[in-house]
Amino acid sequence: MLFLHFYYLQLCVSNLNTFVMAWAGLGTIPVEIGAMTALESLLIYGNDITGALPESLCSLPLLRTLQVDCLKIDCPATCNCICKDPTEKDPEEVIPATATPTIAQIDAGTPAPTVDGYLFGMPEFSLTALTNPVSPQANAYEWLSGHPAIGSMPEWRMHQLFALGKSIAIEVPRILSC
Amino acid sequence: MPYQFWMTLTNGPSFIAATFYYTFNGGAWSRTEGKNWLNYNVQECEWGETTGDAKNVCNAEGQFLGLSIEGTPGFVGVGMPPEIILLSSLESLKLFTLEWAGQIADLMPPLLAQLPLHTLFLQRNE
Repeated sequence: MLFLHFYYLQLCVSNLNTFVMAWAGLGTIPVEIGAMTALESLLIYGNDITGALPESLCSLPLLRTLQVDCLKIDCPATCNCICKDPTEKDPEEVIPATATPTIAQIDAGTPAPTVDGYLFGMPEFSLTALTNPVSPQANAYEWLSGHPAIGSMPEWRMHQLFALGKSIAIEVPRILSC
Repeated sequence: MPYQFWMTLTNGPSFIAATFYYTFNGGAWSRTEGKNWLNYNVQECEWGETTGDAKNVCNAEGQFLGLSIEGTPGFVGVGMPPEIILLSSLESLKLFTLEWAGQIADLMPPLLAQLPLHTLFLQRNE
């Protein structure tokens, strides 16, 4: 949750049009979401999120798809919510096939990763350890990098392998203007 | 072209478990030798012992609930990798390292206390 809030601040959310938070283990909807004026799709289900959606979210001009777990979330009458069965656990499916995102590194206050973009989401202590080539972390990273399927696995799986704990996998353009 | 953005919170224990393997000299382990540590085709939870108290345990989401790290004669533990605190569901941690380079309490990350541990098994020769 700390991470999430942090990246909202970084992104300033002006250019996002799809936001997938399904199965993100979240408990509350950050109020910043109401400022995502370019948002077209929002998917929040399979979370621990409960309560009402912010009214500001429902009045976003471009929002067309709003999928929520209606058993947990109270959808305001002004919102056109689509009730989503939380047992369907495939948030990556909603990503348009035409998208060819790259894993971007955001300058989010962490040291510049020294190996490649898959370090995104690692906490600072892991990134620091990776700068020492004989550290256990560096060995672990080298082992992961040797995964025979690494060239063919989907991006989200790579994030699963490389991102740590409950860190966030994210794909955004490098240039983020606020 | 509109920007694409997606986000998911994952449980990716591979890096963490591998870090433990290297921290505690997994290449010299004998009891778990050949038992799938660092096997790309085996879920991390199935690494190590397959039965008994030293078996790793995970929940349905693949998060570690119990992690067991083998010891090696002659190996001296110098500390616990801080990545341990990322195993946020960890209830049981068993370290069979026999020798430590100092007081064990000094070698553990302070944030270890934030884990829901109910079993912390540490062994040492005196």
